[in-house]
Amino acid sequence: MTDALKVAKRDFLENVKRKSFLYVLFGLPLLMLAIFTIQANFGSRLDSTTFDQRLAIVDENGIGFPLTNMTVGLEDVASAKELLLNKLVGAVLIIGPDYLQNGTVTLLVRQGDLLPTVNPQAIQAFLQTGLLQNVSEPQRDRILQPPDISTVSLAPDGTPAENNVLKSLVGFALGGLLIFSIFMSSSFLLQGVMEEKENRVIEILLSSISATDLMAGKILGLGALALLQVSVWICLGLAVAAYAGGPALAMLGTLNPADIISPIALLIDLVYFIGGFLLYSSILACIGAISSSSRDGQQISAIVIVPAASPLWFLTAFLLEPNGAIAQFLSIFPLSSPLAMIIRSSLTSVPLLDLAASIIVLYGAVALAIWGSAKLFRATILMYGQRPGVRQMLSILKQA
Amino acid sequence: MDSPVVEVSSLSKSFGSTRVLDDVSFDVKKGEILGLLGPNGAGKTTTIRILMGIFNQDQGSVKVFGRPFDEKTKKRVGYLPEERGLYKNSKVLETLVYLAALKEMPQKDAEEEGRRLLAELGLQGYENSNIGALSKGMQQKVQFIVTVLHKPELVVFDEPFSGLDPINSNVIKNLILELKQNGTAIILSTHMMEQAEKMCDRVIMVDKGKRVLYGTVQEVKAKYGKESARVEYAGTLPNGVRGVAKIDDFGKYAELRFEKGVRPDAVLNELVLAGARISRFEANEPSLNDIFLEEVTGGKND
Repeated sequence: MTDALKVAKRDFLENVKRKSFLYVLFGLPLLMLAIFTIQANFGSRLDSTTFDQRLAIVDENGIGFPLTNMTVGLEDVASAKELLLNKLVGAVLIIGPDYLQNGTVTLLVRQGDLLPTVNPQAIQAFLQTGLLQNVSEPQRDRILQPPDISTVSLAPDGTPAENNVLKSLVGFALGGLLIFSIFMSSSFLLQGVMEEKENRVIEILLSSISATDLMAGKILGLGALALLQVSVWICLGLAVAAYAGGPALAMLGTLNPADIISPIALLIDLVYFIGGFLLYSSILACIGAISSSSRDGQQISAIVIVPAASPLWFLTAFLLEPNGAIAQFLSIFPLSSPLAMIIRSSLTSVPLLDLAASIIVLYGAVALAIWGSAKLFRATILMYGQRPGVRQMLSILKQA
Repeated sequence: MDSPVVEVSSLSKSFGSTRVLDDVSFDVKKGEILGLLGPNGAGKTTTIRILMGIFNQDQGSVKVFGRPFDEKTKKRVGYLPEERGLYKNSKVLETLVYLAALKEMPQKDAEEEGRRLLAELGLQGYENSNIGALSKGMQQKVQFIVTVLHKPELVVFDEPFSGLDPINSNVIKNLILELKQNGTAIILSTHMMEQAEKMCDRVIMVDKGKRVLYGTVQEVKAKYGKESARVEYAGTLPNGVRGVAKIDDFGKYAELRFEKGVRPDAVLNELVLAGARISRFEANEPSLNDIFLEEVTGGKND
């Protein structure tokens, strides 16, 4: 095994065991799942148009609401109250005499019952059905049920294009995960280099292997970590989709994976995932070597992290004009292009020229960053207490 | 005779406009301890880092095992840096095995040898402890094991005794001597002249980047030429004795430093003539410490 692989193996194993890595690895999908589940359940409960407990209805208006097996019609409030207090019904709905004028209804519930004991949607549906009982059934159904809007996007030549909202969402989410994973593993790399510099293990390492092997090993090891993270997330996502997938996918309107993410989009994501990781990790490894303390390192790393995350601040610009000037600039500038292009390509079809330019610039920057970082890393890793100035760094880079 | 393990000739190195090493030459043979002596900032650590292939020299040549230093050479040397440190959150044996693997020692051998050395240094049972949880002295011992685990043919110890209590100092000293007996070439960089004098076969002293003394301990002392005597006396010791450069008077005895080239019997004669009542007179060679102080401060402290 080469020296770089030995370093890669150790750094991978060391970071895989980190609590923060494990929390994020399993915690993030669980958190997303929990939010989704709660929202879905809560939402469906609120959306239900039937009562989930018996209700006493006191109609003081004489409209004559059609009763169901969950509702009981009563003449006066007093007897309704008796049923409620004896727990024969869950609540009492009093439709006042001036309901048609001001829409006021009163709901009686027992003290201590948790709200919402009666779903407001269900009350509304009950009232609407009563009010519309003389309208013909097809019309009534159309009034009561929301329209099913089907959007057709037209391609420039007038033919209907595929609906890409879903793809945008999935592409967007996947892109976010990829970038998050890159940031996390690059910052682990930065911490690792600074730790070795601070505890001076670096001297032992450099008297055993070359600085280039050390840096390459670290980038490889943490790259593998990022890859593992993303693979676990995708597998968890697929597992959840397979388990609860039927209804979820039906809700999204498709069962065909090709409708969720296109192979081209996946390929673009992969290209930017690898390029972004190599770019950020080699720059951060170098920052770790240059900085004189871990606080110092965190501060300097802002020069990478801020542009890298900048597409998020311009999200509106991306949504409004995915091929506009801002989106175009951010997806060509190498420090922001990984996130920018992933967002952009999930929103629209990016012109081929833009894509080619962006990839060439990104990988050019990757080559430059690896070359420069390896030199600076080797020259500055043993400088303690003082951080080299810009001029000094330039002269290091100029040396053959 | 074997060719030297290390051959350094006319080594020079500057950082910016500061010249930290200027025309330094020396060699180290198999089974020999070379003391690298000098004050802080003299260029000792830079010399070592060049030897370990961490820095490149500006001028001069370094040959280790008979050829220029390269990445392969790194696998055959051991280095105990002055600034100590290990992965705080890693386990003792794991760390040993990892760092030995970087020196191309097979895992099984590293584990076996690691356990043996841990036991020898009284660290049995700590194999799976986190290094950060060990006492400072224990961490130093672990670091010593890291340095020698892969059975290097050349070992550089930079201040191996700093921060160690006398018991552990002694343990480490014996281990270093054991390495020497097994034929390892050793460079011992230290401030502790007494230790250097006892352990080193030869010494090189550097000051402000230049080599000021080089040779066996006896050669260095002979070249330095200044001797001293410990004198026990009654009453008072006369002042201004001819041939005496300095007197350290402790009341019942005194340490006399002679002027260069003055022989002990001449001084004794002078003392007796001056009326001193001497009960004991013991001529001494200068200690390395004296030579060190003299060379580095130019005798200004005298």
